[in-house]
Amino acid sequence: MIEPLDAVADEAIHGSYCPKMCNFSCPVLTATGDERAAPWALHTVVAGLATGDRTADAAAYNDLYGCTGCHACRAACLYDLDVPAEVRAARAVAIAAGADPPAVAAAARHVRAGRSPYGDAPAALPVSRADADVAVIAGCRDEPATLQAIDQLLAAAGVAASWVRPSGCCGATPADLGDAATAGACGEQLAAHLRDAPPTVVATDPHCLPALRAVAGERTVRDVSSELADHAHRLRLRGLGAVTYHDPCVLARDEGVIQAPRTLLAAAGADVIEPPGAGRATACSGAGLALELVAPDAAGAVARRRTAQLSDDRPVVTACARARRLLAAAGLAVRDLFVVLADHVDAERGR
Amino acid sequence: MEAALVDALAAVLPAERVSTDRHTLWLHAQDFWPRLVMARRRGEDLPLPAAVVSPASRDEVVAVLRWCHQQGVAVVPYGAGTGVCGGAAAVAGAITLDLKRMNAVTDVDEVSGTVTVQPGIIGQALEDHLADRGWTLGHYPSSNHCSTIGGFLAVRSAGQASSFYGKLEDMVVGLEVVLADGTVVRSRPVPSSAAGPDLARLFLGGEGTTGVITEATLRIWPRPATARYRGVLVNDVVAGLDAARALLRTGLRPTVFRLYDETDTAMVFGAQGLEVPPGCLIVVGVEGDADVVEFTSRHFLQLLTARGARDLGPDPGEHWRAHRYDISYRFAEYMRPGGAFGDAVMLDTMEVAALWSRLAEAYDQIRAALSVHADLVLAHVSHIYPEGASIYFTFGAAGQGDEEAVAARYDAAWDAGQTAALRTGATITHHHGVGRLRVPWLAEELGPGGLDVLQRVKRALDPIGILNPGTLGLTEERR
Repeated sequence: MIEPLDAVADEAIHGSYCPKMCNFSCPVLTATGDERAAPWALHTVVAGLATGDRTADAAAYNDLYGCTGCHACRAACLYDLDVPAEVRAARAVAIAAGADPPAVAAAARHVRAGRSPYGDAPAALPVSRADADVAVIAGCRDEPATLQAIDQLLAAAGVAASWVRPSGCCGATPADLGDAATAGACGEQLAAHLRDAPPTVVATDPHCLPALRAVAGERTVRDVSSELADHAHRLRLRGLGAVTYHDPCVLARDEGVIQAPRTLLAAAGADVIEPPGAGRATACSGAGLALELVAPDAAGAVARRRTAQLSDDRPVVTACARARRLLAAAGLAVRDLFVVLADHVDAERGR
Repeated sequence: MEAALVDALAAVLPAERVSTDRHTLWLHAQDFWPRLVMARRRGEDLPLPAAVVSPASRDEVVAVLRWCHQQGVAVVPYGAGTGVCGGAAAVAGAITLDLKRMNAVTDVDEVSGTVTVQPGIIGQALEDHLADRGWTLGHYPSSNHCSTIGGFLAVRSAGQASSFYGKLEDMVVGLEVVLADGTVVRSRPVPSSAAGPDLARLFLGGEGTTGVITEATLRIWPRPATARYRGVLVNDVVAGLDAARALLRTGLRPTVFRLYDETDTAMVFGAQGLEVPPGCLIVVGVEGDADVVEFTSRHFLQLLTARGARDLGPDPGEHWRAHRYDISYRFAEYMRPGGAFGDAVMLDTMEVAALWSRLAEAYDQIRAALSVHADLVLAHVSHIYPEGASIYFTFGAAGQGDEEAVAARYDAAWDAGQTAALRTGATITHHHGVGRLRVPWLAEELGPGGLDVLQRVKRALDPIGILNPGTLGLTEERR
């Protein structure tokens, strides 16, 4: 998940000579107005580290703060430059060279103690079922209500789930922070958890998907909404009115999962309202690439801008715990997709 | 600027608005004037500002400028830093005033058809905001994805649809500006006025030397319901210019008109995978209500084919639409170290404008002048007016790794091209502005009387010369 700097150096050098063409797409630049957050500026730091023009130190790490990993810039780019991959690689180089950013140290400490990198205590898991069809990996930012709702929906869909909670973290957030050691340790633990897992592995948090794929071998790795949408006809949902759906960047843009959440909402009778920035063109909540840990003010600013786009009289739902938490902290009345769906399981029809 | 002064500046406004870390200073040292990009490529250290200040409001701009005026500290206004003439490049010891934090859309008046924005909003971000509401600004320069509205206004930018919507300066309904001493000037947002000279014109094209734009009210249009684009081929540039003039004299306006010379036709469209027969390609686009588009497109096609143009159908037009911003994205492919044409490449554009009666001569002479120093010269015409048009030259040379030699060729090409423009009665710039790049030719462009007026205006508005010194050649850089 963390590429070596050599692998991203050429992209970074290229991007450092681009006249900032993806400026319009960057949520951090837009929310903060900080030139350091322009993808061009990030390219210049990574290129400087790759060519030796910059020292890999704490200042370099700090200058790499301004990215949410949303890949909106990549969608705009004619050359498919992957800024988040560059940032991860360069952060790792800075850490390897001795930079010791407080956010990284704190996250590693939390993970070693079995908490999420954000410091969340582990949520209680639903009861695993025998002869499970799928292994469900609980995200470290998911709340108990979300996990229970997912379990309820999977059961309603006739899918038997065994629940797995990585100790602390799947490794995605440490990788985002450039903490290769912690990410590696998390990955090893996760691989051990999956050793006897069924052939399908489901992630409750879309941010976990790349980390899972890295250790899942031949198993199919997918998000919850995709798994549930395959069984939508069994869910016996009804009674949901108009809702606005916020597409999480990782799910919509990276994974291409756009229809599945809408299928589920439609199965519940919802009239899905598309906000400005929907589907692959979704606008970022600020939740990715550990921005909330390295620059919480910037993450909050991004969330406030997205909140302004989503605020109306309709309820807002999303399928990412990280996005939901940030948007809620920014003042948006936003609920978890699966909790909302579980509230609309038609018990009468199920009898 | 002394460190103590930076501390004093930080007391004028919230501390987080002032940055002095080396990376932030380095980022603001440059804009995208290719001469500076080449300097960076060869490892040259560019002058750094003493501090970067990022105001969040008009009042903070007032506070900063008032303080700078009192202290005699120079200020370089900065939007996205994507200008191509050095107008936003840092001045050593000055502060750079980064306006990107001021990027709000403060009002959309759908009755009047206006939008009011702060200067730091990126062009495409504004366009997306308007599109969500069924409107368009109609300003689509190839830098729309990266540059700010304030920057566009400062250089009198033109977009690809200028033949219908006009240049951005033509869309200005109202303007708010902060002068060097902190005085706020507002032009009343009205459709037109005869209350003396149009004061907004003191600041449009001022490139931050006469004041700092803090808000603009701009004309907007309902988004067109229909678009139809088409390509035709003519034998040569003169035939294309004649066709453009004839089109406008029908009384109808294309949304987009683009005439490519033979080299540009072959290079640009060939490189993008669309084979066009030898000749000069014309792309004509018409947008609006369906019946208007149908009538106008048909009429234009009849007129063009009656003049001998060969109809190539919709493909070239649609191809252009799909790739309308690609050329700006490709800049790095050529200019980066180890780029598509090797190390030490120079690449730039020179946009001039002239009356129809002088345009063919201007094309020939400027092209010939550039060709002496460049390996490749392309040209297209993309902003047409009843009385003339702009010609946009792209020129480049491969330096085979010799940065100094290619820089000399770059300077010589600019001197030759601008001199040829002046000799043929053209203006030295149509929409990129002057910056530092074009200072050597500005005096001849304006003439002694014109330059004197500009200098007097500058002295009246900025008596101690703190605003963007060096740009437009109006005040010496403070070092």
